[in-house]
Amino acid sequence: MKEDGLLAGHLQELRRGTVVLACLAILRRPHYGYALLQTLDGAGFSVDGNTLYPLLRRLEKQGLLTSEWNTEEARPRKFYRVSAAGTELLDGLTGEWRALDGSIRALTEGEADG
Amino acid sequence: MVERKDSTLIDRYVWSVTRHLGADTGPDIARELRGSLQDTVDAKVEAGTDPARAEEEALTELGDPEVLARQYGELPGHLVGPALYPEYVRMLRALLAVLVPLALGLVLVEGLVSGTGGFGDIALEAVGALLGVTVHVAFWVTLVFATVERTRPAAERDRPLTAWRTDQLPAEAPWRQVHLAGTLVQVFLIALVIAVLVWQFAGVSDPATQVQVLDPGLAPSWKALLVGVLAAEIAVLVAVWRTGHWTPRLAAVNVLASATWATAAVWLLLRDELIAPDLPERLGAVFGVPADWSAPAAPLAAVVIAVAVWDAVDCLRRTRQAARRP
Repeated sequence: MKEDGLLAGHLQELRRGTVVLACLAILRRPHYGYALLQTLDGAGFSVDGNTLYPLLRRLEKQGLLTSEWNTEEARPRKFYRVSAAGTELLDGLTGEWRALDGSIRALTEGEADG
Repeated sequence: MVERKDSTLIDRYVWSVTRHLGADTGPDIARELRGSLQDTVDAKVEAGTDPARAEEEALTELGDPEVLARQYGELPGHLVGPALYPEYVRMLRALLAVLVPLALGLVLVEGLVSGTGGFGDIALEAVGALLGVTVHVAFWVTLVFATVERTRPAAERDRPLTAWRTDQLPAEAPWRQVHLAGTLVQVFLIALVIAVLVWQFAGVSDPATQVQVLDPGLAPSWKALLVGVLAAEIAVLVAVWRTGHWTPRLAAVNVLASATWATAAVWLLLRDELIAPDLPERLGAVFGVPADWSAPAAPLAAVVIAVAVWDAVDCLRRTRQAARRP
């Protein structure tokens, strides 16, 4: 039981930074807040609304996302999508993710050989 | 879809989150948050939850509106964060270490110079000064650091104000167990006791204003023993400071001195030879209090023994601590 808590804590730590990467990747197509939450959840990134909604605002303030209100439907919704700067960051983060994966792979496989 | 009239909980929640946000972002965040909450409620209702319950669940999942507001406003949820905390503690320590002794010194000097008020008044004033200075320093330093935490950019919040440098390391060697300040205080206190003893044993000069507490008729050899042992304790303290830590030999001398002093003092107290026999009358003459009591020898002896035991235990504990150190 205690071991499970330990694992959960480290997993949470490991996943923390990946939410931004996942958001930027999904938002290459416009999404509104709740739909993004659902998509993230479906992709295995369980994020709480109270983390995601302020995060979207912060990314927008940093110029990584653009937003637009859609008032055509019964309920007005704010749609977000990545800006040019956001796409650039997404490429950078994706590259870093691949590099990390390679490094970890080299480390763990090197260990197995030794 | 949940009807508008059912949304009072959502209304109150959204208002709680956005009321302190700026006019530029507040209304926009409110509109979006309301939509997101209604989306969440709709999804829950579609999954078969009762609408009122769905609304409550949606709000509970988002949690304390105060916390959410801080995240939207990028405000810290703490008074002084971990990046500033070490500097905060250092500042508090440095100011208290200077200002508390300064305030106490001023109170004592003022009390002695003006000469009005007894020991009780001065002690009361000292306690007042101690409390006042501590509370003021703690309050103002906290206020300054909390203000700094709130006014600097959010991106810098995980960095200290000034970068740490190696010259901030303590100058003293890590194995040093006793410090100059502590040794000086202890030596000063013992010297004070010696001064009082010498003054009392010599006989007070003006019996109208000064109280002869100790018996000046005590044999000179007893007087020399009581003063000499205290002088030996000062010598031990200086030796410990020079070595940097307690050693078994110094501890043995100290325990022996403590025990000798306590034994002599208790012996004299119980034989009614230490306290002046006419103390109640003399006190009454100086302070105008009734003289219908006698000096409590047994409780005084208990205090002397307690102080000696505490001193011995403390130095033995420190000796063991020093011996365990690599």
